[in-house]
Amino acid sequence: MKRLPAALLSFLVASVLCGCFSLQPTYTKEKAAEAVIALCRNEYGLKVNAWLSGDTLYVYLPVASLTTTDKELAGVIQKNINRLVVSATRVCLSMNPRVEFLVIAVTDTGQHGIEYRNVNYVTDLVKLQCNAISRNDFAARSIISITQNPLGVGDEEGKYILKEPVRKEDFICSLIAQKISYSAAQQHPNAAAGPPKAAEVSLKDRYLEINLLQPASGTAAGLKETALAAAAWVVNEYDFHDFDTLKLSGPPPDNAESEFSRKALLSHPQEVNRK
Amino acid sequence: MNLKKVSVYVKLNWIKLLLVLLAVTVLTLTVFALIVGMKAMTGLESFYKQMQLSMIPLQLFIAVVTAFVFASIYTVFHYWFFFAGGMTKLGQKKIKSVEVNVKWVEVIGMDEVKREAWEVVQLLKDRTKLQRVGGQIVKGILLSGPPGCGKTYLAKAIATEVQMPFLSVVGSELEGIIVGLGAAKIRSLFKEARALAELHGGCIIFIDEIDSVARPRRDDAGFGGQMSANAAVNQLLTELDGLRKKENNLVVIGATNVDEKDLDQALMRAGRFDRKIYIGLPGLKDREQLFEFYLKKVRCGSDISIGQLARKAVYKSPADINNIVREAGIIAIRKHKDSIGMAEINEAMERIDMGLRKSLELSPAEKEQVAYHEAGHAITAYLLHPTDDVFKATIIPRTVGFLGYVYHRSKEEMHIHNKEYYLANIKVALGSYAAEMLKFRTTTSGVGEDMLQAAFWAYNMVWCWGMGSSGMKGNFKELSKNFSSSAWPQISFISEKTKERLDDDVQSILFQCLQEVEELLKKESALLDRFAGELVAKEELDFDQIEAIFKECGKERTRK
Repeated sequence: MKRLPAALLSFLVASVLCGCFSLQPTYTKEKAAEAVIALCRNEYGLKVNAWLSGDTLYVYLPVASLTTTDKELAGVIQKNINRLVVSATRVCLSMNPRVEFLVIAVTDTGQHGIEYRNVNYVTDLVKLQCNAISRNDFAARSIISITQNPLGVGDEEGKYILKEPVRKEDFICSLIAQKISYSAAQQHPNAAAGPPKAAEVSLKDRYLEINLLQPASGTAAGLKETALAAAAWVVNEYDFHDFDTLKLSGPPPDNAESEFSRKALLSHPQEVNRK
Repeated sequence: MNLKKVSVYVKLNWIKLLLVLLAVTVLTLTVFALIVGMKAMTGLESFYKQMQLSMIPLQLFIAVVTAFVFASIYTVFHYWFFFAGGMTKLGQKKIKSVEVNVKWVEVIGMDEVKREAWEVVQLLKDRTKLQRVGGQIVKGILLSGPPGCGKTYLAKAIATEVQMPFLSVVGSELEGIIVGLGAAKIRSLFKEARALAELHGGCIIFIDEIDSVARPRRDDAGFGGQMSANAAVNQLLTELDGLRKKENNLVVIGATNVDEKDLDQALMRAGRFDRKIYIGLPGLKDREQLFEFYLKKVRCGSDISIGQLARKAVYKSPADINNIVREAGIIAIRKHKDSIGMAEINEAMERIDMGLRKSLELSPAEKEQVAYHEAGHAITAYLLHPTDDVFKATIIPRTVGFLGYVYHRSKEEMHIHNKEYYLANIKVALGSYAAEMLKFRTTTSGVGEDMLQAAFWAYNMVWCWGMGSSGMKGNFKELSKNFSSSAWPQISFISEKTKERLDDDVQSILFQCLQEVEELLKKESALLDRFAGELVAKEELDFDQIEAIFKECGKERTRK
């Protein structure tokens, strides 16, 4: 009887230690797609399709009508997208090894095949869950695109979607381009309608090329500064090493070119509103 | 039968059963909560489970730190409340040993007192003498007497002489607003003293105005104030008794102005304050020594007569004499003199006794009225008083409220007075009334204070000391007091007839004295006019001038 407290304490400590060292992942990478489909169906009654492509998990949600008559996302659709993101996030986080990217695609199968696509870097999802970054910061790290594809009309399975894995360099380039566009248009990244494209970004032979397009507003010099700030922030935040030189060209009509080393880029003032 | 047994058992052990039931309920709920919690934990997806588990070391660390902080706070407060005095410590200042440097030779006069105290000093310095004969050291000395007579000075001299730490507190410092604070302070004081005694081989605690913490214990009126005072006295008694139990060479010296009978009798008995020393007002020889001592410290003129000053300073304490010399110094500086003379000392004495001169312009008629008033006092005192000399007569108004006064005193202090002395006092007081009546056929309100004094002495003569003409004997004043502790009036010990006879005796004395004074002043009307005229002219007459006036008029004092 005298040893009961000691025994209870030992049991508690052993339980905690066992829990710490024998933690098994809830989901496996191979069954991740099935897990997302099951979660959406069982917990929210959503009929989705999902598939794994390399280190990218695609989740497809077909909806009859994506936008309202005001060309904004319908409330119920927004709610379902959130549920979908939660379910997919749970699967992405509780697997080992984790996938690298999560792509959410919502397609209006009833009219014109309008597609809402959201690409997330899973490490950003982990940071969000651990409160390492805020929701606004997370939103600034997501690539959101709204496109139209007639092939999507009536496609309940998501067959029309190219199921190629997202590469990190592509994600980085797209993110830089998106940030330049949003900054140039001085528009919030969560806005339903995207800004006009202000730059094209690509990676070739360890050159990170940014080709600036005609600015919708402001000066060419301002657009260059914006581009450099956005690139510096993304490269720094994602610790991107796959390039040695940044080649900046444009905007028209003079299309001047300039080059920056990675080190010079990182020493450039970064985009503060995204930090 | 079984049900009855259960019923009786429940009645007898219902508290125990209630506690067991409560414990079982709490345990069940805890186990249930643990099971639910564990189940929920196991149901978590691996990422969230990982997050929860990763928090455990941090939560454990925070729990340990929080527990340590709260345990420390609890321990400190617990110790403070139950072992270190708690709330009673609030407002308690640390009593520290003070440096004293009063040499034995600097204690002037009071030879008897010094002799008594010297014995204690010797025993404190050399305890082996006492231990050889198996005696016990004097643990408590009570110094009593009027204020300013050198009680504190003597205590400091004792401490300097024995070369021991000296803890000095005033009785009022040992009081507190919270019940028990006084006792706690006394405990703390003795604790400090014992520590110092162990360190330095002895210690002296000096409690000035000890009456603040040594008043007789009595029942509390219900507000707790007396409880605190009682607790303080009890603590003092305990500490004084404790000194006996351990040979720690610690002596308590108490000083007070109040009578011993007004202090707690348990505190005053032998064994607590073993030696009681009365330090009274200095005698003529002591006053001479005191004047000599204090005047040595200042530059004096050649006209200073220590003997005359000592005679004039009857009933003055050492502190008063020190103050007179200090005040005389200030007056000398004001007069741009480089030394103190008799004039400065006389002025200082007047200033201390009668206050500052008042810038009040009297009309010639008022001046004359006051002059005859004071002349009546002076002549009566000079010619009729058996013991007093007339030192001064003045018609300069003073801030204490007099328009004039006559200063008469015996050359030496007297400790007992006869009937003639009091009759003379009455006559001197009535001298002003008689003089005013003789000169102006009327009197003023200026005689009010004199009448009060005359009636006071006559009343005491008849009611207290059996000096009335009707031959009534007894202390009727004491008998007329209410001896009952209740607020209800008690049966009077004095009949109305007796009171009437006593009152008649009082008036008889007053009329007889007044008649004698009137006869005297009528007979000495020339002297009265001369004295009053001198006062109007000079406003102030001192001892020598007064003597000269009387001599010129061929008058000698009746006493020799």
